[in-house]
Amino acid sequence: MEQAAIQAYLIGVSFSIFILVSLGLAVIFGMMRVINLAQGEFLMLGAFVCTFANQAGLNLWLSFLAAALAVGLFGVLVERLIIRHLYGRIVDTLLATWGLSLFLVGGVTTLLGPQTRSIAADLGNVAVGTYTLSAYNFVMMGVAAAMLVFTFVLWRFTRFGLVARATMQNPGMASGLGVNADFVYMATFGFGAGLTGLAGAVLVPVTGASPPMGLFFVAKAFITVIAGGPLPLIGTLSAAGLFSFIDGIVSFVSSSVVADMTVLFVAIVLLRLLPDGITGRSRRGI
Amino acid sequence: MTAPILETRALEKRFGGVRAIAGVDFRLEPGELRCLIGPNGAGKSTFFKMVTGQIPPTSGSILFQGTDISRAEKHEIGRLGIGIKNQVPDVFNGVALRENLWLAARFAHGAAKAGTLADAMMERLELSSLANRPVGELSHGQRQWVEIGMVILRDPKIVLLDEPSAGMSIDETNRTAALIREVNRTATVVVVEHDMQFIRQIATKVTVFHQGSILAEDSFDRIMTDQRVRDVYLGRHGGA
Amino acid sequence: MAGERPAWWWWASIGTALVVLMAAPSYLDIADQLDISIIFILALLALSMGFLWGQGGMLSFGQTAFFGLGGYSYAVLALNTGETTSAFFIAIALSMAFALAVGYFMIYGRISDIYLSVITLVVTLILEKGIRATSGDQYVIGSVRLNGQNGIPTVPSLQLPWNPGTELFIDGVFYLSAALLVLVYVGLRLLLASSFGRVLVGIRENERRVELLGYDARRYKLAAFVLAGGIAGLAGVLYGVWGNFVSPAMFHLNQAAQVVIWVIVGGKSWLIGPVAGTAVVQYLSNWLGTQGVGQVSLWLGVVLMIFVLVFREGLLPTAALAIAWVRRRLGRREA
Ligand SMILES: Nc1ncnc2c1ncn2[C@@H]1O[C@H](COP(=O)(O)OP(=O)(O)OP(=O)(O)O)[C@@H](O)[C@H]1O
Ligand SMILES: [Mg+2]
Repeated sequence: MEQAAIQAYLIGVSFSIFILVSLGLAVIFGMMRVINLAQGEFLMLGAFVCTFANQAGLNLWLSFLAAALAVGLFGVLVERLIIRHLYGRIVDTLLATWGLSLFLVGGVTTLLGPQTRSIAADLGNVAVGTYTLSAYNFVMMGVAAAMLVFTFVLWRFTRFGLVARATMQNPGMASGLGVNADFVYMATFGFGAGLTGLAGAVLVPVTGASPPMGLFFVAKAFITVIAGGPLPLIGTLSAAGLFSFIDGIVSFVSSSVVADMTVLFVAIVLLRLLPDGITGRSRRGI
Repeated sequence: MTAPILETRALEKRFGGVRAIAGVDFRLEPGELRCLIGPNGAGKSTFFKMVTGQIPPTSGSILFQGTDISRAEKHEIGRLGIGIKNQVPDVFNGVALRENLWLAARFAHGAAKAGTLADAMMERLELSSLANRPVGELSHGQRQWVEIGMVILRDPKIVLLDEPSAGMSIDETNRTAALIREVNRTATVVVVEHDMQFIRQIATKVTVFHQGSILAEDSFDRIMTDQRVRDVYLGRHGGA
Repeated sequence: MAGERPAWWWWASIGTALVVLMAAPSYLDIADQLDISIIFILALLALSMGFLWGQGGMLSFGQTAFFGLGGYSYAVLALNTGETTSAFFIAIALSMAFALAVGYFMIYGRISDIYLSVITLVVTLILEKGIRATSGDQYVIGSVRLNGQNGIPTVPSLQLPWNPGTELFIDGVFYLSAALLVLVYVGLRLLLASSFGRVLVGIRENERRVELLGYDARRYKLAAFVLAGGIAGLAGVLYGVWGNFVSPAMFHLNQAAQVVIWVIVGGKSWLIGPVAGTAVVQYLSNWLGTQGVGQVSLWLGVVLMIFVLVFREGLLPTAALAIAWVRRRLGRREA
């Protein structure tokens, strides 16, 4: 019983990390089809903004908010300066954002040094039998769930979501109907960046903030969104579910590195069997 | 009745909610020159793409000389001897004209003969002077010919041509019609067209598609006087 | 370019290059020989990516993974057996086998080319993380500790196959890497003139049309992918031999970024592009390194962004375009 609870907890933590790191990408790549390799660095920037905001005296929650807003604005800037010139040139987008990623890692290392900074989230522990579990991990799960619900509602039920979905499907027609497609792209990219910044902030008490931290999360994010297939939210959710289940179990019986390799292996085999991803057969929905 | 060279049974294709092909039973005798007509969106291109493995059918079967090819890969169908010119010119744009034809000849006839065959085809298409030009720089009509040339270099048993005369001048159209009749001497041919003058020049038997189903199938003259066909097709196209 | 056999002047240049390369060690000191050999080795790596991307249309970030795998395999095999000739070939074969496995799933799964880029990137990232995690005592292959972060020092130098007592010294490595670079370059160039290469270019241009003509495009793509994996593995082996050292940095994303930059700077539409790009960029970054300009990755990033946004075709093709433009202007004036 206790074993099972711990197992479920591990899977839950892993699930929320998968969701946190891939949701922004689900918006930027899944919805907009922009391959953003600087995604990991958006996460890293969020982590640093949160750290400094917290050290400057803001409480944890306001620091999260600051990270989301700052990185969201940064995303808008990136979209205006780089991405906008490359719509439809998917390989160039990939390369340019990779350049951005290297630039940001190098730049932040130059400015702040290579060391890891962290903040403590003194929320204490929860005891389950002989195990003590960090209470912060439950906060993380909560934020992941909230981000997911927020994105879903925004996309499904608001006017912005409706207009954005129409624009992504058919930019020409949307422009014809008087929608400012340019603005919609910019805003959506900014929204995705903001989600990513928030995710980076939420991860700080667990992983700390360091210049190269984005590298590894970007791999997780991409396999999740790609394996998810054409429905960005449902696909990401199901791929994250599958992978975190595997990850949780394998890291329990072995190590987290073995778990990463297993997830990668499963993802690649999955793409052989379902080239269009888990939601490959569905055309409608989000 | 001879055995058909191509046959489809209850063939169906859905795109989400759209039934692009809704239960088509189609028979083609060896040696025919068949025309497929129908209004925009009737499903003609979708039908061609399913026959050549470019999109998988939702259900139903496609038989080529009696073997089921409805789940076969594109290259397997190409090897069996079904060639297609797609509606949108589908050539190697960045590569020289001669190289385009060489690649087609190489597969069926081997590298040794491919060069000579490619040169002969350029003569036949009267495009020899453009041999080293990238095909992407040629006119729309010329690219259509290049594609037709690539298809027939493979010596296919069935040739499917999706709107071969689109965007051509009257003179070019006439040459295309002559080319198609020539191809028909050695291969079974199916042509999708909107241009009624063109169809009159080549057709023996015409099949009319409408909303994913076969509406009528008969000789050209009888199709032209068929009231149902007039209603769905000619009516909308101003009675060409 | 595809389909044409090389002209006489091409063969003449290759001959001249060979003569110069063979004479070079007599005029260069040891340090220069070392610096130039590594450029040859890295140029092989760039060539493997440039070939796959420029001719086959597949942008693979996995080249650094095959590079690292080649180096590590050679190190582990040679240290275990004490024999380097078979280690050399088996290491290359292992890189190709790994490329075959990864390539099979991607290419036969018919994922799009852009997904191929992303998946190979992910594979590289995760392999690197895996190698870094092997610092414990339990990670031993045969008698060799993998050492995680720190890499494997004391990688054996190559012995002469016919005389295992003699090891290649610095000039030997220079000759070997120069010869292999020329050999691979010539081989790829001839391959492009062959049926295989011409079909591969056809696939890059229009995969569907190639298949409708009856070719199984997946086979050609997989063969090209495995060949490129082998070339990258060869570069990795030479890298281990060159520095007597392999480390997880071989898999690192910065390494992958450098390869992409070499290829982009030189241009990928000609095979010589990646080689030229490697030479130019390595020379410049060595120079930058001595100027103490801080983080390398910062500059890599800037260069990458500038090239993508401004010089899409790379330096050589851009120069060729510029020359063609000037000629046209001059021609018009005369007319
Ligand atoms: N890939 C696709 N996804 C969704 N719907 C499609 C797709 N391809 C075709 N359709 C739909 O299927 C129907 C049939 O299209 P098709 O292209 O086969 O018509 P067609 O008879 O060739 O028309 P045209 O004369 O204009 O070429 C149309 O309603 C079209 O919108
Ligand atoms: Mg059509």
